[in-house]
Amino acid sequence: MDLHRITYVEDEPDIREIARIALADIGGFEVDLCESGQEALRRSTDFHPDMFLLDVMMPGMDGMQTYRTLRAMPEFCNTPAAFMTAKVQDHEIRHYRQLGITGVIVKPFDPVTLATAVRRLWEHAGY
Amino acid sequence: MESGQDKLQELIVRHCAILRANADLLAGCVARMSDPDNASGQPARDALHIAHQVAGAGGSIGFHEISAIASDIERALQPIVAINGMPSAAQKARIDALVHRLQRVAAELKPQMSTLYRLDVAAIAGERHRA
Repeated sequence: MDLHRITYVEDEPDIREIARIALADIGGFEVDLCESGQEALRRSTDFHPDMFLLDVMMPGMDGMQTYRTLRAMPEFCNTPAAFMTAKVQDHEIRHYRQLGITGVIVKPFDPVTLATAVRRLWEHAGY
Repeated sequence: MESGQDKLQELIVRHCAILRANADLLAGCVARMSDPDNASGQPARDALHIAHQVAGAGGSIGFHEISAIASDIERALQPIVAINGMPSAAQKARIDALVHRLQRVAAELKPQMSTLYRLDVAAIAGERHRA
């Protein structure tokens, strides 16, 4: 199985736009950009992503709530999901991994290497 | 059809204006932090939210100095927000100094200062595809 379709959930419009350039224009992925966890829940059943990228700090439904809700849905219970967040400590990353999170991509991210970083996480997840 | 580089440059130009506006918004929130009418801590929470946005978006769009200053502001605000309290005089002075620096850097910001402004999106995509 290869990585083609990515759902990226992020409330900040300009980060969504730079992520689209990084993942779609540079990375060649098919990307669905969602501005909230609720929007991701609504759209992902049609989009069927191979992987989720979730901003952690979002108003309303945050990244963790979105992740837990997705995990409870049978179609996404095994779909890799990574958090996009500001610098985190090792013990926080370990905690995320214990919860089943595939990995963490640190924000701000480098748009030139984002697609490669996402693919590495995907491969790390054993796909 | 608009190229990836055109779209990127449009985004950078737009984001430059947003960073200037956010620096001023942040200064307004910080100015209200010590106001006794704002003892709920809301201005500090608003300031933290804006600093977080500036750090994340500014850095990802190639404005690294702005992002670094905003990260320092975030770190300075976190202990105040954590206790939902008012800043001490020393905390307020440090945050004021950082916010003034952010405003000064934002005022002089030009799109060409983004490390991504000259990025050749098509060439990088091509290289990646060949790899």
